[in-house]
Amino acid sequence: MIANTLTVILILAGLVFFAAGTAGLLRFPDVYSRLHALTKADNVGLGLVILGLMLQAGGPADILKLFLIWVLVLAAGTTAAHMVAQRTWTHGEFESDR
Amino acid sequence: MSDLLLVVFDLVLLVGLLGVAWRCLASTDLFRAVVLFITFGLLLALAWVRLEAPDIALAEAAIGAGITGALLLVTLERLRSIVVERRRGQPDEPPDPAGADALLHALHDPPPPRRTFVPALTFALVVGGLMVTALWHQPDAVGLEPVVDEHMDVSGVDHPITAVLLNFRAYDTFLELAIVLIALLGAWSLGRYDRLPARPAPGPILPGTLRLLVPVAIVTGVYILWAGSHAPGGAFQAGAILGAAGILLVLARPRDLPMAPSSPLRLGLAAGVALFLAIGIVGLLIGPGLLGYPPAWAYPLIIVIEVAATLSIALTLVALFIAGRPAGDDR
Amino acid sequence: MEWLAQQLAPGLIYPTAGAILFALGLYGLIRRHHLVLRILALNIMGSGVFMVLLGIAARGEGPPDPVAQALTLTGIVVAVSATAFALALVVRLTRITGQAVMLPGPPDDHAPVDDISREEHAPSAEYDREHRE
Repeated sequence: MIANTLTVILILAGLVFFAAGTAGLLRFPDVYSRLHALTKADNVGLGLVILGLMLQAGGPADILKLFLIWVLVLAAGTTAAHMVAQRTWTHGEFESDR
Repeated sequence: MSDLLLVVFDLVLLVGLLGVAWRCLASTDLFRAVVLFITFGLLLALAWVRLEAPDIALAEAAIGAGITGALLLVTLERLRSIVVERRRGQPDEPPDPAGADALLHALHDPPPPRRTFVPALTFALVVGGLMVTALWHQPDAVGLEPVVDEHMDVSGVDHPITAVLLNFRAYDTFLELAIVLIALLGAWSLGRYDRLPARPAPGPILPGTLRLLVPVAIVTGVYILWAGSHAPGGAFQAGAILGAAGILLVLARPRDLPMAPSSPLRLGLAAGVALFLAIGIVGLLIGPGLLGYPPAWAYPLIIVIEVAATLSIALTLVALFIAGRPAGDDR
Repeated sequence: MEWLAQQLAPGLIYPTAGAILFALGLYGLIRRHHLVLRILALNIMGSGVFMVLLGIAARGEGPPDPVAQALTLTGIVVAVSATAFALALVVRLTRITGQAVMLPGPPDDHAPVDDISREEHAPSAEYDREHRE
């Protein structure tokens, strides 16, 4: 029962972070601040969701898999954000060639 | 209560899918369209999970969103570099026949002319309406699930989808591998390997991450291949994951791809089809029929075919990403 | 509420959405001219078909129909290879004509046909100079 309540609280908290990150992505003015909002908020949000799911896991193997998912998403997200930022730094903001 | 929540989830997901598809097709900027298409693929993977098809969701996330997205993005870069190259042209030459707005046409599509609106809308509405009507009036049937379930003990594996793919309907899978190979031969027939219009990303971040991710991807791919005999997974998903790892490696050093040794490469590309056919013909000669296996041997044979198919699919996907025959080939 | 949930069961709304996706893709295929967009439209039509198949497979009680799922899996892999081949053709067409759209009018049957299969593309400026006459 306690585990279930904790799961709900953790996942809801994670979703709040996701919502904040998405709002930042949509509303912030330039690439860097958008990346900042997206990566920071989403990593914490995903961490909270994963933590919530770990409480429901069937055993150590499931917990490890969930943890692995979090680490891999962190690594991939960090690299992607870095490459977007670097491209913006060298080439300027992305513009459509309209 | 939970039923209602699921219905709400379904509706939100489907409206999102249709909206993203619409925005993708209505976009005048091709880059935007491609990004929306990748989003569409990821949402589609969620829909497959909801329809109790985890195998398809795995394949969709790796192939539909990942590899197709990479292919589309590299194609846009190729188009851009071709058009820029053409536009740069020499001053003493006649003007480019494609006209001054060639760049515009390469990565942008102007809004379609108004006169096609009514016919296109009518046609789409009629086809869609017919499909929806047919689907609503289709009688409920159990499908082939009981039949597959009944024969699981002779299939050699414990996962029904793998049993269908590699035993009951091995024809489909064999021909599919052949199609994948033919697509690559078609791409190769268009010319020699085309240099990727990408610069290696500066800095240690991408190589460092790849050093971490590629081994993980290989382990994951092999695990998914092995898991396919008793749980969601199998040759296609594993091949897609390994192929994605290969594409990442190509992107890390786009300018100096290692020269692929010709005959091992060709052997690897054809391994899936060749081995499948060889085992199928042996099946024809010793009894159970073309592409059939004796039940006692089914499990090892399926594993052998799956390993070869995984290798071929992964190599083919990377070769299709590079497009064109390897440099230094057939001189 | 119960009635509504029954009417909106996944076995019904997913195939319906699949049919709409198919029609949407068809509409885009007819109206858009850029070939990459047309390839996207074809892929969306394919996804609509997959959704119809999987939605019907998930109808009724018990586990979903594995044959339909296996067919879809095959279809996804075929779709990605066909897409890759089509994109290679688009790149080739753009290299020759400078545009990634289908040109109006019938093809010119008397135009000389080069053996394209052994060409080198990397120095594309040279290739261009040769072929622009």
